[in-house]
Amino acid sequence: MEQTHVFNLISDYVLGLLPVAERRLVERHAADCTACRQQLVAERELSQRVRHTLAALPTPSPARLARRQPPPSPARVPLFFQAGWYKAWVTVGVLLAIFAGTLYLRPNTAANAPVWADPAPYALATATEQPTATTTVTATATQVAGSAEIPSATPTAAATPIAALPAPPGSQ
Amino acid sequence: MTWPPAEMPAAAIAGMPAAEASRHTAILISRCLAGEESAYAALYNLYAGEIYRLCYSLLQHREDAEEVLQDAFEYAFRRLETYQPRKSAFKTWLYRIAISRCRNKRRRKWLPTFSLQQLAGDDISDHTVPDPSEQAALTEQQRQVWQALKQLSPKLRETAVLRYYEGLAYAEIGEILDISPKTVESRMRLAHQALREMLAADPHNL
Repeated sequence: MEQTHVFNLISDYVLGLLPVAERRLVERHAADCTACRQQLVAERELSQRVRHTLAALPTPSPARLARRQPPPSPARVPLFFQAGWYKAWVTVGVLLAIFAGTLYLRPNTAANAPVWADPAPYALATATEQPTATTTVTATATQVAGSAEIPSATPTAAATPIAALPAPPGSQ
Repeated sequence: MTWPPAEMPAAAIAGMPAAEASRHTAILISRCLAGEESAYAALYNLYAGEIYRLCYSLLQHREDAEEVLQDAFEYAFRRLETYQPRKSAFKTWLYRIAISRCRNKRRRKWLPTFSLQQLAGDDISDHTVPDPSEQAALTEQQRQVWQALKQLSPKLRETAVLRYYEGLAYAEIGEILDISPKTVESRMRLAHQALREMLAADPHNL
C-alpha cells in the first residue's frame, strides 16, 4: 500500500482534470487506502447529486414550450428588395420621375430663343400686335351697327385701321 | 415526404450517435434556410427542452427562463444563416446565444425596478420562495443542492451547470463561455469546492 495520501488529487480526479499518469496513481492508491477511497466516494456522490438535481428540474409541458416558439424567420430577401432598401429605391425613383417630368413639360425656351434673338420677327410681332386691339373695337362697332357678320380677329382684319371703318349709324 | 420528419421527438435524437444527430440537425437547418416552416418547428422541438433547462438552471426562475428560451430561439432563427457548422456544433452555438441572453436578463433584473402595485404595497412577491412545481419535483436533498447552486456566483454556476449536467468538455465550455479551458478548470474547482463546503455544513448531507 502506498503511504502518501492523494487527498489533494481526488477532486481533480472526479472532475476529470488529471492527466492519465496521475489518474492511475489515484486509482491505485484508492484501491488500498480506506481514507482516500472514502473521500473519493464522497466527491463522486457530490457530483452525482448535483447532476441528478439538475436532471430532476421540472420542464414545462410540450404545450407550454410550444407557446414560446418564435415565428419562423421570414424568407430571405435580397438586399435590394429588403424593406428599408426597397423604400429608399422607390423614393429615389419617384424623385427621378418628377425631375424628368419637369424637364420634359416645361416651356421649350430653346425653340423660342431664335425668335427673340432675331430683332426682325420681334418687330413684326409688335407691328401686328397693335391692330389687334383695333380689331376688337371694330367688331364692337359692327355689332352695334346691326351687322350679322362679326369680323374674325385675324391679324388680317386687325390690320384695318380704325379710321377707315364706316361710322356707326347714329354716331354722326 | 421529407426527411427528417418534422415531428421527430427530441428523445429520438438524444439516442442517436453524435454524427447521426449532427447530420439530422444539419438537414433541418438547410430546410429552415430554404424557408420550410415545419423545419423551424422541428428544430425548436429538438432543442427547446435542453435550452430551457440550461436557462432555468442559470436563472432559477421559471418565467425568466421561458422568456430567455423564446428570445434565444428568435435570435437563432433570425441569424441561422450565420451559423457555421465547421466552427462549432449547433448545440454549442445555441448554448452561447442562450447564456448570453441569460446574462442580459440577470443584468436587467439586477437594476432595482418597482411596479406601481409594489409601491402601493399591494403585491410584494418574494422571489426567494421556491416555485411550487420546483418544490414538487425535487426531493429534500435535491432542494438543498438547488439552494447551494443558487448561492454560487453566476460565473461559477454557468461552469458547474455546463459541466455537471451537460457533461461538456472543458474546451467546449470555454468555447461557449468565451474563456480559456484553464479558466474553466479553475472555475470548476472553485464551484466544486464551494458546493462541497455548503452541503457539508448541512448535517443531512454527505
